[in-house]
Amino acid sequence: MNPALRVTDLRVSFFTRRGEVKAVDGISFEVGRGEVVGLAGESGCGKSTTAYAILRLVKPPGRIIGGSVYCDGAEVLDLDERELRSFRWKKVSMIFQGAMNSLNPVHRIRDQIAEAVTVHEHVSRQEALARAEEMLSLVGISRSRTTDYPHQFSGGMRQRAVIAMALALSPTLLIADEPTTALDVVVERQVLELLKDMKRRFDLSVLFITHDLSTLAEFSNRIAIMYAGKLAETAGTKQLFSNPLHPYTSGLVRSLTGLTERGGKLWSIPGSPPDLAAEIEGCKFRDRCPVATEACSKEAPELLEVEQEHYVACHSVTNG
Amino acid sequence: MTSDKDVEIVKQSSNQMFEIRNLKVYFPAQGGELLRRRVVRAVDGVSFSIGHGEVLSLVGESGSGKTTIGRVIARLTPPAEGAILFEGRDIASFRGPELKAYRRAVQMIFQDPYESLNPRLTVFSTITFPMRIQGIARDENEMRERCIDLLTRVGLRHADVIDNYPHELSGGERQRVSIARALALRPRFIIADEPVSMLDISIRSSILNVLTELKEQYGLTYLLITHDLRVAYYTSDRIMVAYLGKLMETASTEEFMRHQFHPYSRLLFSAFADLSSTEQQWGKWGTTGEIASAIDPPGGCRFHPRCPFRVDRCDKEPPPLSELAVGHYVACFNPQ
Amino acid sequence: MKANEVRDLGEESLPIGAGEAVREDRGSRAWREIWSAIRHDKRALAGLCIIVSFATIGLIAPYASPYDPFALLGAPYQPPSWRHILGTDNLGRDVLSQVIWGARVSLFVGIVVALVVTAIGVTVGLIAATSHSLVDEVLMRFCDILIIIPKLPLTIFVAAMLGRGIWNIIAVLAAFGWPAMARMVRSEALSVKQRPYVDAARMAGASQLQITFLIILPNILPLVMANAILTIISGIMSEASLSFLGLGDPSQMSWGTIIYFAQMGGAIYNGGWAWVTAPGLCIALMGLGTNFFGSTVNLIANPRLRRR
Repeated sequence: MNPALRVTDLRVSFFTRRGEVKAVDGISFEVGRGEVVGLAGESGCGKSTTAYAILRLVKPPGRIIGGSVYCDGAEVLDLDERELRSFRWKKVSMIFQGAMNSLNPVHRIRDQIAEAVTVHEHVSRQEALARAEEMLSLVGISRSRTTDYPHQFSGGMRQRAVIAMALALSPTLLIADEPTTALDVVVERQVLELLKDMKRRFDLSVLFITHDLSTLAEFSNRIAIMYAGKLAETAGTKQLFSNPLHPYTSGLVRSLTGLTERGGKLWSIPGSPPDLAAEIEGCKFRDRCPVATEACSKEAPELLEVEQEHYVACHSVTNG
Repeated sequence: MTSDKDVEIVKQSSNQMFEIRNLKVYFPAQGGELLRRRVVRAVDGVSFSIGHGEVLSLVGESGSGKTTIGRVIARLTPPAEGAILFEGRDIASFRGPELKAYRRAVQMIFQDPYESLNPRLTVFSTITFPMRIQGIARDENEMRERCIDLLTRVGLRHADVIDNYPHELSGGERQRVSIARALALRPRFIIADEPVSMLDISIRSSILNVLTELKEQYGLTYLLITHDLRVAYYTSDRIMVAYLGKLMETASTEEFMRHQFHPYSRLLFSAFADLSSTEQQWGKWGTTGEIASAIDPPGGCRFHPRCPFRVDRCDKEPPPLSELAVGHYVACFNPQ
Repeated sequence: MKANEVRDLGEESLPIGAGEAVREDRGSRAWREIWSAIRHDKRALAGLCIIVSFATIGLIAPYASPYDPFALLGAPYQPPSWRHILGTDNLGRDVLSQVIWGARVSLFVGIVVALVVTAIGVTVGLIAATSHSLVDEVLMRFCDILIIIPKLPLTIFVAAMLGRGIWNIIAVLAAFGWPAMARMVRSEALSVKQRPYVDAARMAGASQLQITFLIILPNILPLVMANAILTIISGIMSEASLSFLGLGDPSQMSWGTIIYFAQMGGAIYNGGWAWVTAPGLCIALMGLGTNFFGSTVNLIANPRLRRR
């Protein structure tokens, strides 16, 4: 069965005055049909850039310099303008970081969704409006509120409206970039439940991008951990949490659950992510890694399958 | 309407660092019909106290009034009614040297690491700004020494950041600089308004660690404002839950984690603990609705429209805070 | 309420670790960064060159100008020649000299107007932004009134009352120019006022005055300077328009008055094409220069933009 998305050796660099910043440095992963794959990592690791690259939204000074993005039967990086337009939103749509910015403040919510529909499909305005109303009620926004403006919505409602807009054309793949980051914990739960519901209803494949591993714990089937532009580990969700192999992953998992007693010290990974403009020999995590060896400073580790469907890029793990 | 019971509770603990009595903060509302003065009742009758050396968490969603309460204590926002007593004295009466002393004693850490530092000042200038304003530190050298000391205490390599501008630092580093700035005047009390909510999960614990360490080193008292019970759990001695401008429950952290009486506290707790049994109680999340408007709050108990345990009384009058267990106060007619 | 954390894509992909370990003198490093930024931006550099060129010409006008612009040197309407590179006007005066002196006068008008407009506008704007809402309302309504008043009839009136002096022109342009600057300063200052770092300053015990001058003012400086530069060219052009309509100061040779004389003297019909086009071209070039350079002025005071 064809995967909904197959990314192979994707490379995206930003060419700034300080040099080439390798935001995405050769990553490969797949999102199967009806699967939820989480892409997790700290700010600046390149996960959002990956999402933008899939939709070919990378702006200068950034450029996709290599790799392939294969989605629903087409090589995205080869599409021309016209094909790209019909690809975006119909095959793959995205929820961007910060719902406020996806919504036009001077148009009513319902009209914005309807416009998204009419731009991509040849339907009458009535049909488009009807579709918009339908989507909005699916996400739990009552009819009386659909003609409101974005500023009249609360944060949670805006996020739900954005989800409605993203799903209006029933795409195959939904990319969600930090959809719950700016929300309160209770609203965050509501939005996650909504996403789960939508996934079931539309049989969506989802690429869920976040820095918060805990939201992935219950929502995703597989998780890919990204660090400094490369993938550190990918595994099924349960496996990743019960047996994290890469030192970075186990660090992340540990800092989440806080293995200490209340009042004691919380565990955190020492140091901070590297400067991507600097050329770093070998593994980019070695400065913060508790088990780094000689080999780690010479050669960057490759992503290798260590167990069933469990890939790790770490010399210590693969060499025993 | 103040409840005598509320003020009673506060009076019991009279040697507290802070006493907040029947605080009310109203803001004029945007829009609305012509000629109709609408107000946002951000804080509508809140009383509590903060003990010396305590870490008190004020937990609530946006719109609960928690940030406003913090700002009033910081004397950034004036209250409409009520009083804040610091060491027994009303802060509203502070002028001149008294006010200056208060500013030294009470500091704040803000939520947004990207907006809480002046983009035109280097880290050194930012941290020494309070010192210059207050006239402490004799000369440039002493200021530099103090600055280096502060940066080290918050876990930064001072040489790497001291002459940098905020945009050259990461979110976590900026927040540490904010903390260093807050410590510049050797305060006794720090209000931390959502100190980690805009940082990556993976670095939150390191920032919280810094706050905890500094508490020991400097003998600080904290008011920690957050929407995330996890943060409250890991750092605080006592937890206070606020909803739509009023307090719903307050107890020691251990007590609270063991058992929450108020239905709203349970809602928060289940978002935190993710327990399936609570999901059965609450049903599908979509039905819990959203926080109501603070302009036109629900009559009676603020939470009653969303509450699955409401009884008749709940929409008629607001429940007073009552002590249901030792040190455990709840404002509810049908506590669980 | 949690703010939205929107950072543009460039920032997200460049994880910023610790800054540079080299300790340099903060002041000079800032200026070096600015100069480097300007050097790399071709438009800014071009703009700067144009402005500096005109300014220099204006400054050394007494030495650069081949003749006295008012001297009657000979044949009228001479076409461009080696003796008179831009020809002569209807009274036999050298056009090139006029244009060179014109740079001096026009720039003088532009710069003085910009200075006055900025001084008044910033003061009023800051007062409005940091005072009680009543004061704010009063000041803003006053600005509105000034903006609405039809300027041309009023200028004619003033010219009729006070005579056609260069200072009168400057006064009128400045008097009508400051409200726009005040409005802009006010809205920018209000937005800065909301930022948490202003709250932090209040918590340090800073007074309103200290906050206004040490924090708000520096943070609105980029916008103020960009607008000030644009005011220069708008001042030059306004002066030219007024002069063209005959309200200018005939005793001063600004680009505007040159055009006025050219029109009065029937330059177009008499073959004095250089006489007409030269001053106009200068104004246009100056406008281009300020436009190019104006966008870079942001770098002068906004450290965030310097690195990219």
